Formats: sequence, C-alpha cells, structure tokens
Amino acid sequence: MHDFAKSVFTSTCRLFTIYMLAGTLAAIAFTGLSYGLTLTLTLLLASFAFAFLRAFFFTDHIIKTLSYPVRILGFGLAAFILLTACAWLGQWFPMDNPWAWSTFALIYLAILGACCLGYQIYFRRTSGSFDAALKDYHQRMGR
Amino acid sequence: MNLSVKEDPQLEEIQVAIACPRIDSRVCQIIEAAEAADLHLAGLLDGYLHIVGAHEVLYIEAVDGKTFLYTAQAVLESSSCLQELETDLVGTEFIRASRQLLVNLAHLERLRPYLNARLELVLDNQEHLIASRQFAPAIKRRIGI
Repeated sequence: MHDFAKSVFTSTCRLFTIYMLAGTLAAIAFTGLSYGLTLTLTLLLASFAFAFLRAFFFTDHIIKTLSYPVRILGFGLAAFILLTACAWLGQWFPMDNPWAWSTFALIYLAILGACCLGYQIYFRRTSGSFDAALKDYHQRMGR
Repeated sequence: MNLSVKEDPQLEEIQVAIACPRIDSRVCQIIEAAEAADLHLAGLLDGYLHIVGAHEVLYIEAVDGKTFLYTAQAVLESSSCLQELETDLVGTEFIRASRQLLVNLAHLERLRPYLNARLELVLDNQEHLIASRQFAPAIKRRIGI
C-alpha cells in the first residue's frame, strides 16, 4: 500500500509539472506574457534549479569527494543566487524595497538552517539506532 | 530446539552433529549454515593461489571485469565473477551492497545513513564502503533495522 501511494504521489508530481509547463507555455502563446504567467514560469525555473543543485551537491554523480559542510555551503550559496535571480525575473516582491529583500534572505536562511538542523537530528537518531541494531545483530551471531 | 555446545581441547576440528525427529526445512537451514561457516575461497596473489576461509574475507569487489577478495592482510584476485561468488556464499553473512560489492556483515563495525538514501559501511579495519540505495534496504533488514 505504501509503494502504491508513493507511486501515485510521484506520478502526480511529474504530471503536474508537465501540465503546468505545457499550460503556461500555451497560455503565453495565446495571451502573451502576464505577471501571473511570469511568476509561474519563474517558480518552475526555481524548482528545476533546486532539483539540479540537490543532485549536484548531495549525490556523487558529479562531485565524488566533498565533505558534508562544504556541500551545504555550496548548495546554500548557489541556491540563494539562483532563487534571487528567479525572484527578480518573476518580480516575486517589490524589487526596490530593501526590507522585502532582507525578509526574503532571512526566510531563506531560516528554512535552510531548519533543514540542516532537521537532517542533523535525523542523522544522529538514525546512527544511534543503527549502532544499537548492529550490536544486537552481532550478539545474535554469537560475537 | 535445544542447543548444546561442548568444548573439547582434544578435538582437532569442529564437529557438528544434528539430532532431529525428521529432516525438515529448519534442519536443512541449520545444515546450510554449518556448511557455509566452513566455506573457503580461492584467490591469486603474486602468482600464487591462496585459499582463505570465507569468514576472513571482509568484502568482495568487482573492478574492471575482475573480482577481488579483500582480507585484513591481502587482496586476492578471484577467478569467479561476483554473481558466482554471491551464489556460493548464500547462507553466509555476505550480502550485496552494490552492483560491484559484496560485504561480509561479520566484519561490519558501524553503519551510517549517507547521501541519497545510501548507507556508509565501516568495517573493522576502518575501511569505508558505500551501499547503494538499491541494496541498502536489504542490509538494514538483515541487521534488523
């Protein structure tokens, strides 16, 4: 059941992306570029950028050996630059308002920090439970 | 099942005798496990053929079409391919960690989650290996996670 739900969820995400992209491009072709359509396109671009950066920094398809803190730093900086570019292109908030930019940066840092902290907590808990399970395994095997 | 172990210094090797009302699947599993514990593997080192106990092998890796047995002291080249060795080692503590790697869980000291749903395996000789996301769940199940 879990695999079925996961399959449905993954397919929905993929299909939604395809439909949104196709629908947005079709709308631009028929009605021209509007604020809403630009916003949608830049959100799609930001999604693609984050997916690319996640694969670039947190798998070893491209970067084979790099410490985890450096990966976080690289991802954080690159993602912020790309997100800022998307925000500017899509006019996500008043571009001439420094407070808006500050809030944008602060929210980004807060989310990034929360994700890093969350992963660290998960990592420590999981590693602890892995160690305990491995110890039990070796005991069962008579070691 | 009653298990009794008798230590006798006069014996030269381990003797296993199984008494059972009938030979069923459980007895067959016990026989397989006992046979697996006595398994030996052959590998080439410096032109000489060496025979090592399977329990001495930390992991087996396939690189560039060749298969290598890694023990604590040496690296031997096996004439068998990884799939053949995997079949031969059924019933032992060897488990597939990736398409190129078989790991002996008896020598596993620590394991950690790694990037992209993989597992980092640290052996008792402090070597670090990575189990791919395809095979990580099987390793966790075997250990009991």
